[in-house]
This record gives sequence, C-alpha cells and structure tokens, in this order.
Amino acid sequence: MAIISPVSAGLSSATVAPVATPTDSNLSTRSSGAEGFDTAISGALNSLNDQHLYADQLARDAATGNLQSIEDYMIAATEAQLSTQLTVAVRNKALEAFNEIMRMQV
Amino acid sequence: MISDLTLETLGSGLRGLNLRKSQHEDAIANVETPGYRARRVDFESQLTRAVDAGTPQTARATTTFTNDAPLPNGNNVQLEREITSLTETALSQQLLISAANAKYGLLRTVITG
Amino acid sequence: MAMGAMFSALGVAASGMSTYKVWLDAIADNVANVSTVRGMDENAYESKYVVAQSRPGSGHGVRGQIGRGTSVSRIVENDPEGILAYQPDHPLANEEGLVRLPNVDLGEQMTNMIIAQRAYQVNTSVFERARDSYLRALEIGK
Repeated sequence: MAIISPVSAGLSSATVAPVATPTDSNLSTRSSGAEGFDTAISGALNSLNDQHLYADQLARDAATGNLQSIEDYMIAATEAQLSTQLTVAVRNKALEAFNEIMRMQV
Repeated sequence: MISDLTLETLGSGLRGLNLRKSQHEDAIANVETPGYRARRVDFESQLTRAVDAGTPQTARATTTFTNDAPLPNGNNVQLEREITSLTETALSQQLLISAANAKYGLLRTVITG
Repeated sequence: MAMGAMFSALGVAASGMSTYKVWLDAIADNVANVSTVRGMDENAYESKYVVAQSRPGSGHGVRGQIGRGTSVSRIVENDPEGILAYQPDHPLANEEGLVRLPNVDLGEQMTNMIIAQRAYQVNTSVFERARDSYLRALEIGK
C-alpha cells in the first residue's frame, strides 16, 4: 500500500533541472554554486517528504484514536502544506529560469 | 484511482465514527424508552491492527451493549455520557475530514503546480 | 470511549455532571420523603448521602498525573432508627402510638441542593468551553 507523498508524485528529480552529481569526473569544472544548489534542493525535498510522512502518521493516529493532541496534527498538516506550496513555487521559478536560459540566443 | 494508506485509514475511521454517532443519537432519542439498552461501538483497536497490516479498509466495527445498571423501567441510557461521546465523535469526524481534505489539497497543489 | 485522550476535558466535565446529577437526585429523594411515615416494625426512610471519589489519571508521564474527574463511589443511608414521633391516630402507629419519621434536615438538604446545582452548572460550562476550544484547534491552519 503506497503512501502517496506529493514529493514522489510530482516534485522528484524529474522536475528539477538535471545537474551532474558531485561524483562525476567533471566535478572540477562545475562551479560551487551549482553543487550547493543541487544539495540544497535534495535536502529541501527530503525535509518536505519527512513533513508529509509525519503529517500522514499523525492523521492515521487520529483515525485509530492514538493521537494525544489534535494541535500536533493541525500544525504538522499546516507546515506540510506551506512547505509544499513553497517548494512548488520554487520549482516553478526554477523552470521559468531554465526556459528563459534555453531561449537565449547564443 | 488513488490508493493511499492514510486516505483509506481516514475513510475507515470515518465509517466507524459514523456508526458510533448513530448509536449515540439513538440512545439519546430513547432516553425515556422503557427497556432500551444503550450500545457502544468499538473500532479503534481493529483499525490499528488493520493499518499495521496495510489494509485499513478491512477493519470492522463491533457493537456491544453497555453493562450499565438499568432503571426500574429497564432503560440504562447514561445521558451525560452519551452526550459527551456524541460531542467527541462529532469533533473527531471534523478532524478526520479535515485531514482527508488536507491530503487531497496537497495532491492538488502538486498536480496543478 | 476510545477517543478519550484527544478530547479528554469533555469526559472529565461530563463525569462532574453525572456525579452532581446523582447528588441532585438523592437530595430530591430526601426532600420528597421528608414526611414519609413508617411503622415501628420497619426502618425509617433513610436520608441518602452520596459519596464521591476522584478518578485518578492514567499515571503515564506528566499528563497522567492529572485526574479524570469524579465518580460516585457509593450511596450511604444514614439512620434506620429515624425520629420517633407520637401519632396515635396514624394508621401505621403501633400500640404505643409511635411512628418513625425520617431524620432529614430540610435546611441541610436545601443548602446541598444549591451547592449541587451550582456544581452541575459549572461543569456544563467547562464542557462547553472545552468543546469550543477543540473546535478552534480544528481551525488551525485554515
């Protein structure tokens, strides 16, 4: 039974502009800015995924009567939603920027 | 068809809560009925086991009579407790519905971008 | 009921309401029977006294130290002898003309009734405020 995390649904690496991983041989030619962006993105996605999983667990606890305080769930769900919206906005901006660059005349 | 453990757990919980709400409403409506015996609905422990097994939709609620002492006319409805449980059930339903909506909302955010 | 932990204040307030309702019922019974005459061969009507006990918390952690309200542990009946009265014309009187009257202090019962009613009302107030608080919590993030 899958837990649908929106991270896997639409925000996975397929939607992030592909960059070379730090283990590639061309590591020395990549700017440190691109490497930092890559790890920052995957770190943010992992943290977003964790937030979704946590909110999911609390939602299931609410259904099985094991939730001690409803505030815990409401706050976790709100955080997951806000983080998701932020991540989607960042993704959209990144795509825009990517498309803009691709349109540039060289 | 979206198949997701959390959404199915919430759905199963809501079905159990609905059954419990009906029993409480029935008991409150019959607070003066001679011979009426109140029932209680249990489903949380069954649901916990079903969730652990990965199939929350298989959880079944069980309905049993309460063993409160009856009045001389046979009625054993404890009004304050029924009202309390009805309120708790309604609040829990709101919580689970809110959780399901939040889940769908997240999916919508990602899909529509 | 199984959802008790999430909305526990409701159950606690309801336990208060139940207990004070029993107290009110006992007082009503005592007052209604304040003039009930019994013959010498029976016990007098005995004033009923409600003994309440607190329900301890679950004991788990800090939250478990908070109790879970109150309940009625037992009902005590106080005085089978009653007050002997000389009413030779009463159909239940014995050869000496004596009957048993209940040992019910009406003043004490009325005082208790005011206390019990107030306690019941305060608990309904707690119930409503707790329910409203939970409803507000469900709005978090909306």
